Amino acid sequence: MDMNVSLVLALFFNGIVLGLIYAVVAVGFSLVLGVAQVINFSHGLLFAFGAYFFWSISNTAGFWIALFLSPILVAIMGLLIELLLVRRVYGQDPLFGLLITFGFALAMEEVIRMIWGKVARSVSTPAFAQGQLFIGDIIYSKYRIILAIVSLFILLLVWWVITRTSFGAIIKAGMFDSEMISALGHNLPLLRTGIFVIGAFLAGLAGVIAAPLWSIKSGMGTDILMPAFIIALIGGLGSIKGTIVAGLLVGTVTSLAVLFIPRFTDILPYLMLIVVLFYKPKGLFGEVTVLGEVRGE
Amino acid sequence: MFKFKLTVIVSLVLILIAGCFYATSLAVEPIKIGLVSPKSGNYADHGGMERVGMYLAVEDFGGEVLGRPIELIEADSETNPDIASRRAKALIETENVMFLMGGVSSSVGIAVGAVCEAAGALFIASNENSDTITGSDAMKHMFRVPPNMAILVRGAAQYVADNLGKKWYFITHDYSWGQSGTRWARNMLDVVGAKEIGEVLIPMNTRDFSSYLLQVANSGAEVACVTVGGFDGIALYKQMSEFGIFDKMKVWWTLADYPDSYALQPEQRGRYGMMEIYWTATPELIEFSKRINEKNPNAPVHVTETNSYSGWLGMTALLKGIEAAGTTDVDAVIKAMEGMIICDNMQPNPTYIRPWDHQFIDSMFFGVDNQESGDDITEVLFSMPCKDFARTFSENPVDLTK
Amino acid sequence: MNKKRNIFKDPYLVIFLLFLIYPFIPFIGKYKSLGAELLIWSIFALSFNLVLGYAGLPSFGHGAFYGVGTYAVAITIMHFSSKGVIIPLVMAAFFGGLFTFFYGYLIKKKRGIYFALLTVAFSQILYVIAFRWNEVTGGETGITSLKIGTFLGIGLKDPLYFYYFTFLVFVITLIIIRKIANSPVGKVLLALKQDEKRAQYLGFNTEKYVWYIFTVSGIFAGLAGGMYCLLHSSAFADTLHWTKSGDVVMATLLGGGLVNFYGPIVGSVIFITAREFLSSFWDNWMLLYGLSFVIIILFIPTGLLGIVEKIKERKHIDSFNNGNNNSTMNGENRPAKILNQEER
Repeated sequence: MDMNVSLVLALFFNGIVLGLIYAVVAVGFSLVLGVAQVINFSHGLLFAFGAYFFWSISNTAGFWIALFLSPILVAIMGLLIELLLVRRVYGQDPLFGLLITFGFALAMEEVIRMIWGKVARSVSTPAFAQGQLFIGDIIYSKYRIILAIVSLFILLLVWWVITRTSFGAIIKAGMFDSEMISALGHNLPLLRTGIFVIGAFLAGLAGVIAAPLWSIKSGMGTDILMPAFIIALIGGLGSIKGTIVAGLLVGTVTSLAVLFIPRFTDILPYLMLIVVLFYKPKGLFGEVTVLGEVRGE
Repeated sequence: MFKFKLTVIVSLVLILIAGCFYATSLAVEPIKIGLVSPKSGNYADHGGMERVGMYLAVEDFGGEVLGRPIELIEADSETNPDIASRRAKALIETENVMFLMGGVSSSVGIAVGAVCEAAGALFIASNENSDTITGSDAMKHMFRVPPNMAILVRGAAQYVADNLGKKWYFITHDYSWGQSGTRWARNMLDVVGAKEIGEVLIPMNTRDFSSYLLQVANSGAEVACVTVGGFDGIALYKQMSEFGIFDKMKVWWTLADYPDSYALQPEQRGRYGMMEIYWTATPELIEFSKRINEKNPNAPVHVTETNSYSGWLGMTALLKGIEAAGTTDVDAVIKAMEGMIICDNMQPNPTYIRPWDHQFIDSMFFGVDNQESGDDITEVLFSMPCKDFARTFSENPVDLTK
Repeated sequence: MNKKRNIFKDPYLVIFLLFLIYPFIPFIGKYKSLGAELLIWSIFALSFNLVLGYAGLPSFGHGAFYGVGTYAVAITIMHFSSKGVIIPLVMAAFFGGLFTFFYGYLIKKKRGIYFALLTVAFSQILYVIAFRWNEVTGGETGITSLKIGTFLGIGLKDPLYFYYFTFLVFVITLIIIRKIANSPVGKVLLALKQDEKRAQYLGFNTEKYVWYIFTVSGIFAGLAGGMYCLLHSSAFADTLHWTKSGDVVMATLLGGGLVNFYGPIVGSVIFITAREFLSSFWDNWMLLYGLSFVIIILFIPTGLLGIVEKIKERKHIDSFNNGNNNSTMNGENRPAKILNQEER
């Protein structure tokens, strides 16, 4: 196995790109989990719908319209899911939220197959982003670099909103004590819906930007769900900083691990989750354990 | 007295009616063939195409054989050996289906073959290419239609070493079929004077190949020898284009499937590959393409390709076998198929069904993808008969006629 | 007089008789493999419910122990050429229990969703190993064409014989699990599920109980998996994937596992039969399958037997609470606090 420095660096960059994309998906999941205490297993589905909407719209109306419209459509889907399904399980056992969104995701995955067929679809990278960049010995695809920058920008934007605006302050407070929020006069149901819709928008956006990268197939939602879940938990619920760090960590570790244990790299995120949950049950940067007390910690 | 007469008459009428039902049920008892073909999973679109071919073959036979109508029962293998074998078992047990066909994934083929072998049913592996299906996993009740990896790789290896490069890097789909392709390419290294630079194993259902491609790009190889298929194969092909692999080295796909190339945008293509069939090879194949299009205007591809062709050929061979045997007794049909020669197979060479390993032997085509839009997306560089490259008995000591 | 009525009202007898005559029931009896699968799933769901319904712990990765059982049998038969079926099954139960023994020790302190997540993580690790360790598990291809041995000299190739063999295993398992559920251990677990702190104040080492029941559950889950391997003469990695674990959760909830001991059996029967028939009729059956999750959670979270309980309560019939026939676990049906969760 040829292990020169440029290869390691290339793999490292690769891990960062992957990690950032995962983080964009995970952040929406983490926010919903932290604020609304709902485990939204349909989050991956929203990611998939983002990609599929993008495919359909870009084939008829072109790249830019598809780029803007798809996440909005997914956000609307998120709104409907929240109103019709998730609302009914607030306050109940989180397991119910998990099962209900899981079941919904299974059903809707089938709907995707019914509408778009079982064939894999592909979208080209937009013309301005095609081609490779040469950094020393390393070839890297332009699109991935742009992707990394865009993802980072989105994540920083979300982080800024959460930590620097009053809206963000309300959200954070909601994670600690949702009753108090209502008592202070804020509309808790509206807040929860809002967070869910934002999470859906982010998932849909991630689906759009990831679509040219990976093929678009009906199972892509289930595929991304576990990584997003793991990253949200490792990072700590509701912590944007945590999600970014966790995403980068998981992305780079699995990317580099391909050099050593190519067969079993998929185990690493789960191992990392187990280790983190044992020593830091709130995640690396999490501040709340709203999902059940952990004895003795 | 009256009561007695009435009873007799009613009984006779009832017996007559029952007899009519019995007779009609005998006469129209259909011959059931189970299509355990993928409708979802990694090979879903290949499954769709192979079924089109199978239905067309039934049409060509006039919809019936031995005076009985042919009934095709579809079951989704889901590209999953566990589910496929359960569905196959259900078909055999509950619907008394004795003839099964399909699979695409070699793992599914092996699993369903095992079920059929145990139950005494006949299985035609219509699109599975792993050499073990007619080798170490060969079974009396299983036949295999497409050329296997030994044939495909040995047919291409000399050309690749002479024209594309002698430093090979293997990209292997990490399951039975992928491993068989790389295994045979390795076997050919010394024969053609090539060298192995390295290998990456791609797990099934990989989304992102960037880590693997970075290794390949960095390796200094002249040829990437790829055995990856289905949706994974499409994603890999796309990402190769994205990483500019085609500028760095030549890419040789040991088994190139038309639908996978077709799924890409024209400017993304550039691989060399061995194909089982190409639609412009004979006028009959072009004609068949038209029929495919008519039957299935929403199909992902509009021309004859491997899956639809092999589905057609497998079904045709089975029906001919039943016809020749004159019965639906599985052992008789197996005997009839062993050694069968099919001339009207739309190919340059006739098909010969080898009796001792149940491998169909006909032709193959080596080509390179162009960047045209439309349906003619591959330049055929040469075609050859499979028999020159098939394993000999000493290489593959299997005897299924025993 | 009273005792006689009780015997007939005991669901155990009904279940025993129904499964005994199953192959002879018109229309459905001919699907003997299906019948065996119903029994195997029932064993699996019963073992799972010891953790979910009795201890109130949401194990979302139980499929892993089932899957371990399938491979244990497959590998034992393949590499140690077992002529019989007893040893492979013992290995299946042993390894199922072994994994739960070690893993249970690690997570016995965790509760709620963290417990669930850790079980998912563990099952996915085992899944990836099974799916990728080609040399041992056959990888994606799995292990097929196993030669199944005999049981007490009787060949098991015939679906009918295999069905009754499965029935025998099922009955033994049912008796054992029922004994455990109705024993003091079972009572402590129910107390733990309702209010762990209170149970601890009463002097019980709740963690030890959790560890114990998790291990026991793994033993029987492994056994069920082993039976599955015998049924299909093959083992595949699929059974360990977390989505399959979702199946057993659903089946258990559907039947009312949270409130009734026999819930998992009822749920398994309905779940498996529905899935088999639905998938053969409609290509897009997953749509209904997913929607049924939604409907069950929204409208009947305590499952079918939970509804039965509610009806009986309303009619004030003291049916199952007769001392020796205590199959209801608690007399209440409160969806909001079914599992062991601390209040926020």
